[in-house]
Amino acid sequence: MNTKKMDGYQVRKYLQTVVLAAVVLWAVIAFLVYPNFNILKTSFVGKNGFSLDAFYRILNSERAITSFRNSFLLAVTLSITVNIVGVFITLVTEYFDIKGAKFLKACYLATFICGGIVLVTAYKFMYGADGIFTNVIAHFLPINKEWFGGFGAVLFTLTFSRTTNHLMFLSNAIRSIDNQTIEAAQCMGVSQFKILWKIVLPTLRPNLFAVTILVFLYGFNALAAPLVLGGEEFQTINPLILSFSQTLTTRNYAAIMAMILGFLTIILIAVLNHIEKKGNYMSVSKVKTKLRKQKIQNPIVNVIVHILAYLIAAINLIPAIMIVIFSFMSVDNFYAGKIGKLTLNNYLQVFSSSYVFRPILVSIGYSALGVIIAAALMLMVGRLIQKHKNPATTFLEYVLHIPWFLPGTMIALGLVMTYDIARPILFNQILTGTMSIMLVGYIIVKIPFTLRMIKAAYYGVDNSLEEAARNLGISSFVTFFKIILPIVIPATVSVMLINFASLLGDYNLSVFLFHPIYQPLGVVIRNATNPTANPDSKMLTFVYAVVIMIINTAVAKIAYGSAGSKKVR
Amino acid sequence: MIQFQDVEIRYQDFVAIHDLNLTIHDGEFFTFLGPSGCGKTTTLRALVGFNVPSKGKIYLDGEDITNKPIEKRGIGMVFQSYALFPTMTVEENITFALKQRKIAKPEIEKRLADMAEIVNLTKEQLKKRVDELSGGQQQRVAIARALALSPKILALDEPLSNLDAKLRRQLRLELKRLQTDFGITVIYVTHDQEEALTLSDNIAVFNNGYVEQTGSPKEIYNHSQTEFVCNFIGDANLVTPELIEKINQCGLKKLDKSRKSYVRTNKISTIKPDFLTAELEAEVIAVEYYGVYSKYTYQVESDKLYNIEKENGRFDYQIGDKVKLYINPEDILQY
Repeated sequence: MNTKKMDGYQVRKYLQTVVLAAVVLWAVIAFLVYPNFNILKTSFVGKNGFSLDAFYRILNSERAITSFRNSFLLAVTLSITVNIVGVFITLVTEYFDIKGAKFLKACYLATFICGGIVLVTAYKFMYGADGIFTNVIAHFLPINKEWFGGFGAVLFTLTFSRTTNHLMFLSNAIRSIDNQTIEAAQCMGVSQFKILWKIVLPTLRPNLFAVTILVFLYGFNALAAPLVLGGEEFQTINPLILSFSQTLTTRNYAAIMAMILGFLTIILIAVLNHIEKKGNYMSVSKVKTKLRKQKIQNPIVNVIVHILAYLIAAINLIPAIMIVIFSFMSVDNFYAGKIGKLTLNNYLQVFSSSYVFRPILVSIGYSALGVIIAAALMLMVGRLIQKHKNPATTFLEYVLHIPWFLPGTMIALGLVMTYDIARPILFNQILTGTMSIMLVGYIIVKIPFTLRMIKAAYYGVDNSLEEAARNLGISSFVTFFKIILPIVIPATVSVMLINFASLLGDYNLSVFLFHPIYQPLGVVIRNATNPTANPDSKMLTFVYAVVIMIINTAVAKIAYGSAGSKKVR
Repeated sequence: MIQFQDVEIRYQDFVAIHDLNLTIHDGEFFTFLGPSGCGKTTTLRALVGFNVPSKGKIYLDGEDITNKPIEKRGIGMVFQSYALFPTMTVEENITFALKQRKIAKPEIEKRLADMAEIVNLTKEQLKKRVDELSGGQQQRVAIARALALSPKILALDEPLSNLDAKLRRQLRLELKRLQTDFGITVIYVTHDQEEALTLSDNIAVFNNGYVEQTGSPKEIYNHSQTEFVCNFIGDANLVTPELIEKINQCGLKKLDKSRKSYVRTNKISTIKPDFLTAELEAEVIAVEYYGVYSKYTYQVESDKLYNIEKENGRFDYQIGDKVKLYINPEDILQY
């Protein structure tokens, strides 16, 4: 299209775009590119110039190599176990006619409500050496009190904490199956198992790959579960990076390991994406009919499936219930392994002391501020990308996805190790050790998801609305704030709520960045799992966990509930 | 008066509109007609200001508006999707531009009432959100919003395409009434030939970025200047050279056998007219009953012709009936 002359409207728009692009460019370089580049530099450039010494030391360290091997082992096995459990629970809630399917689904979502560190802590306090169940059983049977630890415990905990992704991603895929395809197969005399195997499961494949990528990366980058439950026998990369990063002399080892972790993560994403692209199925049905739940015809199989479905539901539900019960127990009863008389004391302590209440405020404050800033920035950037599709914005979009490809550990270390001295790019401000570094970290890790969802919301807006506004003589500013923004706001709020819930109990990033005076919930809860932790403070963590669960439940209800009813028009 | 002068519109290397020259007079209902991708919407968008021609000029009342900002052209537009602002009520949609222009409140209220009356929207409907309205009501809101600014020209981009057949016919009449009442110039884009023929004062038939013919509906239909126009507008029979030879034998006019020939279905009659025509022996081989009319297919020598007869009780041909077909050689369109 010809653009011979620019009118006033176009000049204003051009200037706005240039200013916005400059600010975005600075932020991207200062917070996404430079810190990660600095990690690379720190890894290989020492006082005596370029050196691979630290790198070789890592490669020759049995502990480091074992941790890499363990991370890989965890990621691979987790991908298998989560897929088995995840597909099973999706089928029993969406495809098969199972009694009490709605109740089962609510139970399966319980682990989502608990969140990472809360769930890990719950398992530790239930089955760990001092866990309530372990203590109860130890009264009657001579068992090894350390039975719940190592690879098995980590795998078990992470398996049940990650299946909610399957429920979210695969449920829609199952619902989109045209019932007529199943009926057609039934008319041909195809068995129920064959229909499941040949018609239903293949349609899930693209979503299954997407979920597998997430699970694999989660397993590979796991921090809280191996740290709390892995014990000495099962150390993975991230806990080791955390340990190295805490002393100045081993910081560059942490940097190298974070860099290797980042490098391996990128390779794994590329491989899995490549596999994912190979298979994609689209329904060719002209008139789709709603899927009808299939009754399992073999009575024995039906009973077994019902038993397994309820067993998994119990495994998912028990930690959440136990956390709530623990939060009402006295410390004496808890350590004695009996429920006894329930009390509100723990709650009174948390809500009556500003010191004890502080972690809740800190986490809510940081998370809220982080998601608001991330959303505000991505609303501007998303608009820039939508309105100016060119190589520069495509590149910008890729760069903004960096936090998705890099482990949180590397991002956190990048910030800590880069801004521990005054740098001109940050106007000579030191970030490390300040209150703001965790906020920066929270914003960075939430950028890719926020951008993706907001961009999708922008693209969902009918282009002719803007044209209509221009035709009516409405300025670009008014058009954006009065027409476009109100349309994308519901999706943005949903994204903010989801981000908020995930940051509220965050441990993996916070542990590297938190300010000692302002400890967030994730860090406080994790510290309570230390054997040396004060028993009273352990009880308070259950109240914190309940707060997180309540907020997560509300978020799930608002964000996922509204996503169904308020589509982006 | 609108004039397109040697207008060319490009999308990178692709030329969407070639050397367009077109004049649209004040108060006309002018239709851009053509199949998908022919350039009709591109031309309309260039007139409104969303596309800038790579060559040529567009004039409005003698003023060059080729590069004039959209909002200063005084052209109201109704979009195919209606483009109603989904977060606003009907009333807010109609008055939004007026409020932005800081027009006095009493004037805004007056215009809102006028528009509501013109497009038949009730007070209750004005308070509703746009997604609570039916397709037809949404279309009325879109028209009211465009008319609220009192534009000199109203541009409509396939505004009826999302509606069912009955509603389309009803709204077509309302559009024509609006245009007549307001005396406004309407530029209407459609791919529906029936819509174009019934509504328009003049039609430009687009094909592959070119205007193939401009004229009144009757001119376009009865004197289609190109084979494309002949085929695109209405039903036409392809007449083979053998049949042309037969028609020539009646001695009324010497038609060129080597050219492609067509005859409109309504120009074939089974009733002998009171003027001289070619007469062909035929046999009814198919009858399609449509209620108001029937479509008959005839075997004429080795060719097939078909025509349409009104269902008024005079025609009740059965398959196998022998009939005579009368064709005026003047009605044969040759290319």
